[in-house]
Amino acid sequence: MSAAPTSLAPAGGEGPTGLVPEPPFRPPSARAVLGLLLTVLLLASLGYTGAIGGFAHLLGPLAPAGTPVAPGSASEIASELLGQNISNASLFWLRPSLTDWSALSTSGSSAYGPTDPALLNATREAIAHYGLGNATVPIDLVSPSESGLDPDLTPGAVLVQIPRVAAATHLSDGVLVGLVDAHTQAPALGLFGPTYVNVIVLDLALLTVLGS
Amino acid sequence: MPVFSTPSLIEVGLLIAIGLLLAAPVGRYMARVYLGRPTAFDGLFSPLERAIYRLLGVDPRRAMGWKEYAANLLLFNAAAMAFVFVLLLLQGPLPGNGLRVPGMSWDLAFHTSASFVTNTDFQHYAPESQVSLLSSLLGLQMLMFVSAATGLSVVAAFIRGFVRRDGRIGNFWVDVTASLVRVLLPLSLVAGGLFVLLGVPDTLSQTVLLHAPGGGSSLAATGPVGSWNAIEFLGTNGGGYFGANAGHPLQNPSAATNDLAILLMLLIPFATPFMFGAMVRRPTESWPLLTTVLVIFLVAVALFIFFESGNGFLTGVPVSQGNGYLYGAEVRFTLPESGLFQVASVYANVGATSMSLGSLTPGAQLVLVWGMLLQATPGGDGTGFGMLLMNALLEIFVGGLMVGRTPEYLGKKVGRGEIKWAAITILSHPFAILVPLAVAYGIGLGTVAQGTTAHAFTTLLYEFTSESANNGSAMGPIADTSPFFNLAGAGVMLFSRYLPILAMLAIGGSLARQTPLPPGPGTLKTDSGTFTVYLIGFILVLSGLIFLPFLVLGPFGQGGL
Repeated sequence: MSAAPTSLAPAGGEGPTGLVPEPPFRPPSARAVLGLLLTVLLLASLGYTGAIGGFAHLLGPLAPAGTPVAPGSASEIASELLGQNISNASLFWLRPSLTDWSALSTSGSSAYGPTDPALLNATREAIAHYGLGNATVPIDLVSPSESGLDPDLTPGAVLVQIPRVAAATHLSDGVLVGLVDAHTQAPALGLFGPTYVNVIVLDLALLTVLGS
Repeated sequence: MPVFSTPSLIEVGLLIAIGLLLAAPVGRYMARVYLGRPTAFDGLFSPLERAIYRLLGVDPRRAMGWKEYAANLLLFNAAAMAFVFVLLLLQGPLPGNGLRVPGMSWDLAFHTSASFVTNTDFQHYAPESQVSLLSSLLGLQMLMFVSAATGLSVVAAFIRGFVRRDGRIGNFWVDVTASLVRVLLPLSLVAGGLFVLLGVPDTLSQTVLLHAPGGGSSLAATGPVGSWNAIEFLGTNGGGYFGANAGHPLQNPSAATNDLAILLMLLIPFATPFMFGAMVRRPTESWPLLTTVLVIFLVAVALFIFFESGNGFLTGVPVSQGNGYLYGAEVRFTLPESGLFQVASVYANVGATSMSLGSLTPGAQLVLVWGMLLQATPGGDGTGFGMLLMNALLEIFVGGLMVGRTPEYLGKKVGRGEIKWAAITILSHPFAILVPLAVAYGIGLGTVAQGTTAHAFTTLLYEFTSESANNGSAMGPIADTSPFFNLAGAGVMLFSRYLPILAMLAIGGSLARQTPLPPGPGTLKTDSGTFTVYLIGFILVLSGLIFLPFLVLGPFGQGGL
């Protein structure tokens, strides 16, 4: 315990004399540097991307846009993955978007800090914008998402919009609640993902009801 | 509280368990790769490797001393960075630029190429509108493979210091080729295929036209996202194909892709302790290091989810937070899913974001910053475990002095040279964070992020911490496209990447010159519970002593903790 550190080491095994000399230094070769750069470009940029892209191509030409939910001509695709600006009073609305629903640039959104006094006012204004005077609103409806493209809401955030949608569409609350329930997704296997509503799919179903 | 519901706890536990079950065989496989032992896939990979060695003109049997290893590594990394720097400058008129993206300014191109070659992937640019498809594939994606392969090579060479006794730590060209051919490319192919199967787009088209329900249409950016995702997460890179990164519905469309990303981010960092135990032929030596990583990581996950379960500042506004504080989060993930992703991303120094970090509650921000101060629980591919070994060496040295035992690790003496390099590495982190932070405030740039509040200070502290940890996540919004932030940031990233790498190689080289000592009565047992508890405490106390004053000014100062 109290022995000096060196006294416990076996004799002759340590100290500068016990070290093998530093191996010789050979300067790097330009051929190796450029050769590996070329190799990485061929394998990791072109070959690898081509392999995955080819696999995606085999799976189906529509897969790149996300699952298409509105059949029609090739360009008539609404993606259930990407939220878009829905302002029609007859439809369920999405969360506020800090990037104005731009799917061409999703950088630089500036959300409020958690204790910024402006956060309280912005939240109150959002509640007013959705016409939800005195109701208690689930936070997701009146707060921005990270991407600015969130197509989903919690069921509560959809149900709280029913008075407005019912007034605009003249559909009964019961019909609308039934529609929301039918489009509420449960966690996969009871474990993965939240209970949520894809509002794009819900609105397309609502449009079908209104059209018939 | 629904945030901590039983399914969520089962899911988090399941993901960690699957991560460890995958990490053990992958780690042992990597040990065979870096020891040059036969593996089941030699028939496939060996011919490709031999062709690459012929092209490079290198002798794969020649092991290098640490200085030669380092010189080759630095030169190759510099060449790759220079190639991408020029590519980003010239991308405007080059082909593969369907959206007619202009060339980058020189300071932004410098920051971006430095960012991707250092495994940081801090993005001062908007990917959709400032990088062409050609730059993305040949430039940034290439660097994502190079930086991950470099990190793996470094840790393999470092660990060889404990195994070899001829003063040589391996051949850089062999290590980086094996990292690419035998580890990163095969795993990325599997992961990229899985992302595509789970609905992530992978196409060479750059836009797709969308029609909104009820009228209106718009263009959306798309691209080879599935293949990008795989190496972004597996390589602990973290640069987003889109600006919104893993919060973007095309990059991370569902809980399934989110959980796959979590497993990929943790796979190699969790596998490296197993690789270490197998390489030094003492599997029990993995456990103290893995346990340290897991304990700190899991506590961070629990604290993060707890802090994000509600923002107490939002009183007086009629909102309910039953599913957690979803401000700046995506609804298709539960809060524990977002939280586990975010903590895994920051603690493994990936830096991908699926939540707006600037709107996290102060406690959650503190959890993330602390992970970047540690850099080692688990840290990025290769270098994260290297940092953990540095901490263990310091711990052994300090502990050895305290109890009067020979400071040695796995039979190799931890002497003045090793400790000098380890101490320089640990101290370089606050140096690289705090000096540019002070300069930014000194020249009047301290107010670029929303005034002079504690939140603004946290944003700037986070910026340089993220760059110095080679993490790459940002709390934004800060005017970080100015030449000062581009050049200072690039300097910080390069310094904080290559100084620790030099230190790891130097220590490896120094250890490799020693003949191992046989264990004796004075040997500190490094595979014991005592050692583990001591290591956890040592790491936390060391980082706390260095950084607490600045955490008080930043995350603590925002209140609400």
